[in-house]
Formats: sequence, C-alpha cells, structure tokens
Amino acid sequence: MAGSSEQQLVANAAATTVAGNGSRFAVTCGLLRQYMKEHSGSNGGGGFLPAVTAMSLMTGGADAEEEAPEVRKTMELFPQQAGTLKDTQERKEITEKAQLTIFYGGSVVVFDDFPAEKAGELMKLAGSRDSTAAAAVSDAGAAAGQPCLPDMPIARKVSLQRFLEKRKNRIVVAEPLPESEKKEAESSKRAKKDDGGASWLQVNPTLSL
Amino acid sequence: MGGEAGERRLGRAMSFGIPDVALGLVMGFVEDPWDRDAISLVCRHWCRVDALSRKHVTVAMAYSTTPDRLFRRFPCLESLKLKAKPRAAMFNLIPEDWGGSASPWIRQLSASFHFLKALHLRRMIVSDDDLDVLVRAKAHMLSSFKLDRCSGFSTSSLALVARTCKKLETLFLEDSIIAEKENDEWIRELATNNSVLETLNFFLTDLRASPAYLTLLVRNCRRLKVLKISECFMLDLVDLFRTAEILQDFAGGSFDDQGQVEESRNYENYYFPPSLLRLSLLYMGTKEMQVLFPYGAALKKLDLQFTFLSTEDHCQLVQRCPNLEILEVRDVIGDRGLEVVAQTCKKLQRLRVERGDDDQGGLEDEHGMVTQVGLMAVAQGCPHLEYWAVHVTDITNAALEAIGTYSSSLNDFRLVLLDREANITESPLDNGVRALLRGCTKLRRFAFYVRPGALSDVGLGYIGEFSKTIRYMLLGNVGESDQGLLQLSTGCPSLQKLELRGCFFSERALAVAVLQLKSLRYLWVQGYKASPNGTDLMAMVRPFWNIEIIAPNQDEVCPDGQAQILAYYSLAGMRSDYPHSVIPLYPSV
Repeated sequence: MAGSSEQQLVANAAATTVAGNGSRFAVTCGLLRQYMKEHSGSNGGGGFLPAVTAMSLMTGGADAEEEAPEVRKTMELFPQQAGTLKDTQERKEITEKAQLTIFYGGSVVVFDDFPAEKAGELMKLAGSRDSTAAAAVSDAGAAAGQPCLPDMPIARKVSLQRFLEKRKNRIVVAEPLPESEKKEAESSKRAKKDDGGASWLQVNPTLSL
Repeated sequence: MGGEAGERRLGRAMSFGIPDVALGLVMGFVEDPWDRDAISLVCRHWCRVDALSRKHVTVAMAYSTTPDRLFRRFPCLESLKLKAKPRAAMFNLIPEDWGGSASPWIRQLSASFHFLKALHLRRMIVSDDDLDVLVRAKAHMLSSFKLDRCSGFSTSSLALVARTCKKLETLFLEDSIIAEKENDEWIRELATNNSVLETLNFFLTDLRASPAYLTLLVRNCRRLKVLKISECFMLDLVDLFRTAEILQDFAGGSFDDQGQVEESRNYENYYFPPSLLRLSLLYMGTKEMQVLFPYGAALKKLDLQFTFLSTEDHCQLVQRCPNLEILEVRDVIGDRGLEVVAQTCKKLQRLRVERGDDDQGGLEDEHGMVTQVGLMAVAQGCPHLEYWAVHVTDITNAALEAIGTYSSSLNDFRLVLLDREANITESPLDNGVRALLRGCTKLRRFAFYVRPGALSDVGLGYIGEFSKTIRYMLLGNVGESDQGLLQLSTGCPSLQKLELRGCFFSERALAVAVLQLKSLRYLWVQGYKASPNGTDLMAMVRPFWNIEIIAPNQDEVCPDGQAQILAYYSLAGMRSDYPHSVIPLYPSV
C-alpha cells in the first residue's frame, strides 16, 4: 500500500456486538462520524438523523403494510444504525466494550474491547496535533493489535482465477523438481547474459536482480 | 445553398417532405444504434418508421425495461442482445442469487417477436424450462443463439437445441456454467442434425467433449469456421484438424493431460488446418509452443492467457507472429515481451495483458512484470491499437503521455495498477492522465484502477474536462475527497455508465455527481463512505431511477464483502425478484 502523503489519524469506537465485521471501512467511517457527532455536538442539537426520519423517507406514499418488510431490510443494511439507539443508557452500555480502529499513515490497526474513555482521550490527543504522541500510539498499536488487510483487494476475473488454480495444481503435481531446476537454469542463464557470466552471480542468482 | 432560409427549408423538408418509401429505404442504411436513436427523436413519424425497421437492439440492463414494452416499440426485431448482472459478477463480486433471470424475456420473445433470428443473453440465468419454451417457439427461426456467461441450464437442453434448431449457424456458450457436464450427447445431436453451423463456442466451460463427436461435427458441418471448445487433449484432436479444412478460429484443447505420461506426448509435426488465423491454446508449455512456429506468420490472433509460457517463451513466439491483430496474454510477458510485441506486431489492434499469478510460490517468471517501460514501447511500436487493457506493476506520467501521443486510435483503454510493489515510481499521475485523454480523442471506454494517492482530485477534474466522448468509465482507488468526484461530474458529457471501486466518496457526493452527469444511466459503486441509514443517498432519488444496495454477505469470510450501490434508469419500475441481499432503496416514484 502506498501511504497517503497526508498523515491521518482516525480513531473510532464501534460496538463490537453489533458490527461483527468491524474492519469494513464504510461501516467504520459511519460509526466514526456518528461518534464524533455525539461527542462534539453537545453544544447544540446537531446530532445525526434518527432512524425514524430515514424510514419515513423511504416508504414514500406507498401502502404502509406492504412497505413494512422493506423498511426492515433497509435497516439491516446499515449495521451502524444499531448504534443509533435512542436510549442513551443502552448506547453507553455498548460503547463501554468497544472496538478501536486506527488508520494511520496508510496502515490500519484494530483493538478489541477498547475502553470508551481511553478512546476519548486518544481522540483529544489526536486533535491536539501533537505528532510525537500520535506516533507513539501508532507504534503501540502495531505491536499489540491485529493489523487488517487492505479493505478491497483487486478482483480477478473468475475465468482466469479458475485457470490459475488448475495451473498451480498441475505444476505442483506433475513436475515439482524439473520446474525448479528449470527456473534455476534460466535465472543463471540470464545472469550470464546480463553480466557477462560473472561466476559469483551464478552462485547466487537472486543477486542479479 | 441559400443560407439561413435554405437551412430552414431543408429542415422542413427533412421532417415532413420525404415520402415513407424513401424514408424507409434511407433508414435501411442507418445501422448505428446511436444514429437510430437520434433519428427516432426527430418526430413521432420518424420514431415509428425507425421502430418498425429496427433490426437489432441491445438492452444493456435487462431491468431497465420490460419485454412487453420492447415488443410494443420494436415489433419487427430480428436480433436482440440482453445483459443483466452487473459486470462485477465476472469478478465474483455479485451474489449468486442477485437476479437476472431470462424467464420473463424468453416467455415474451417466444410469444411475440415473430422475426427473431438471433438472441444473445449475457450474464443471465437461463433455466432448462426457459430453453424448452424458446425452442418450442423459435427452433425453426433461430440462426444465432448465444448464452454468454450464463448459468442455470444443463446439457440436456443443449441437446434439445441441437436437435431442433436446424438453422443454427452460431451456438455460443463461452464461460457459462452448465450442469450435467459429462454428457456430451448434445455435440452428437448437433453433428447429426445441423449442416449449416459456422460457429460453435463452448470455450472456458467445464463441458466434456469427446474427440470422436467433435470430429464427426467437423465432418458434417462443412461450414464450420470457428470452433472453441473446453479442455480436450490435443493429441486426440489430430483427426479433427485434418478434417477441418476451412477452420479459421480455434480455442481450447489442452497440451496437458494428467492421465498421460510425459514421454508419450509427441507434438512433432502437429498439424493445424492451413486456414487457421486465430488460436487460443490451453496449458501450452515451452516444448509444445514450437508446434505453432510454422503457423506464426499466418496468425492474426493469439491468446496465451491460459498457458504455462515464461517471459522468454513469449518473446520467442511473438517474434514469429508479425501479422497479429489481437494478442491476449498474462503479465508474465513482461516488459521484455512487450518490447518484442512493439518491434514485431505492427498491425496490432487489440492487446490484453491480464494479471498473472502473484502468489509467492515463484510459479510465474520473475521477469514477468509490466511497467512504464513496456507501455511506452507498445505505444510507440503499435500505432493501430484500438483496444488496450493492461495490468501493470509500475507506471509513470511519461508512459501515459506516450500513450496520448502515439496511440491516437485507441477507443478503449483500461489500466489496472497492481499492488505487488509497495511504491510506484511516480505519483500522482494527474498530468499523465490529462495527456492521455487529450491525445486519445476516440476513447469511448476508459478504466483507471490505481491505488490511493495515485490520482488526486486535480486528476479527476482532468478526467471530467478531457473525456468528451467517453461513455463507460471504471475508476478504482482514485481521488482524495468528494471534491474530486464533484469536479469530474461537471464534465464527462457522454458518460453513460460509471463504475467506482474503493474510492470512498461520500453518499452525498455520489448523489450530487449522479445528478450532474447528464448522460449517466448506470452507476455501480463498491467501497464508499456510507451515511447513517443511507439517508444521504436519497439525494439522488428521482423518477425512473432505481437504486439498489447489495448488502455484503454477513456469513462470508471474504474480505471484500462491502456494500455495493447499483443505480440505473428503468422504465420498468422497481424489480420484484430481488433476494435478501439486495435492498431497493426507494419505492418507484
């Protein structure tokens, strides 16, 4: 992964119980935004839209009974809405045991069961733009958390994928030794061609690269 | 001509003064569907004349209209192409039960469309019942039948088609998933019932095909020019090739038979028909490659995607094929191979460089990497390229600029930057993309799939500004913020179909972009910043615009299970066959 030029530190607390797959970026972002709004928006009524508003938008003018199952489906899609519980008590209970995801300098780390108040401190720290503190946190994360893979690997065409799997099996089954011998012979041949046959290159073909 | 007054007179004459007979005759010469669309908008009368004389229609999204509506507008269609599942289905990104059944279409086609001769279904689910209905109604008419990346049917239906459709000239099943694959009776049926077949394609299927039946087919169907089959041991096809004197296009076979001892494989003096122009061979290795050498100069197309060849092998083989117009390979060809292509293949029109194996097993040639070096060589060496899809490991602005300078015939350019290397030489690629788009003025399709940071918001702005003719675009991991997408969406006047992956634009930005892109009629997105409850996406709600969310499968371990947005114009209203994983975002207005 190429690290983005901007350093970014994003921390968020997600309810592990509801967002089972917390590494999903979109979900995480949604949660983050919601969390930020909740904690910074105490000065006014700038909170997020309650789920009810969205539901009424989606049902439009259609028959209420028919639409009911659709509404439920729409709700299932966005797991982060489970965090939009109206009961603040309930929400607090969940956020006490939460998952922390940090995106920093292009890498991602995830901590399970991160205490909510620590997360708050962390975000304050990040907000203060104290670079040394942020770096320290990142190092600790790399050591302790399980790093996640990039969110979206480049997809491969199914037909080609099928072929590559078969090809792998056949090479391994049919001729494990000749293949490696061939490789060795080839690379030493190349080394000769590239560097006028220097003998040390033949000994260690990897050096030719 | 008489200036302004003359023009006005001409306009009036064109609208009303042309007799129907003349109009009909002229229309007969207008084949381009875009011209037809324009003509049909002149007035109701012209629309009617177009509707009655239109022979072929492609419905790019089967849910965008209904079979009945299509029939009412174009009752005299002779040829129809239908596509259903999103393109992402070819990359295993769409749930199997997403939809795309051909049933409603086949029922209507069978009951009406009395002139239908050619049917092409792509990425659809076609059941045995569907085929039964179709054959009952259209067996005496069908001359071309294509089940292109379809699934849901079995070889017994193929036998029915083969037995009853005696006028069939083209039967196409490429990359379809077909049940009862061991049963190859359908080939015998085809061989004994059909004498007019010109094209048989079941390439990239798992179907068994006995060499004896295939040889019988070639013997009986004397017009057969295109034969693309599944895996079948090449040494068993010797008789077939001796019989197929006019065969021009062959794909499939297999140089690798696991039952055979290696010593018994002898391809010396292997014989191909003298008319052979296009070849795609499976599991071909270095030794077997030599059977192609005597035919190299005649070949116009070579597909090496499914072979065992190394970088050096590619060089050796391509050197002997100076007349290639189409070349398809994996990136194992490397920069060195592409340099040979650039020196040798001066007539090349289509080049595909697919992504090879990047496992750490060392299976692919270590020199098999394609970078700016190979791209620049091809751009300079192959001036007639029209289609170029390439997976690269590294890329620079200069390489993109070279494509803009030399490859001005390109109408379709697709670049995917792989994630093998931690860093690429140059980033961002904004200026390179600008130069490419400025130079390649014929581009209709454009894909640019890179990595975060490789194309900035400025670059997206350039794409908007310099893509006047582009109708289809795929962008992956581009941009830095919503601003980039918004900037892009102020341009792209011809963009009809947009696919975005891993760009993390917000729902609001996506919605605004959709409203701004005036030609857009199809949007697919995977990887975006979801708003709570999806409310921000509601900004794109408008009449006839269907919005569906494809939810990630919660049980799946696969890491790319991310929500997808699919939105498209439809006169059919919301579809009713969506599975649990698909959530329509709003009821039709």
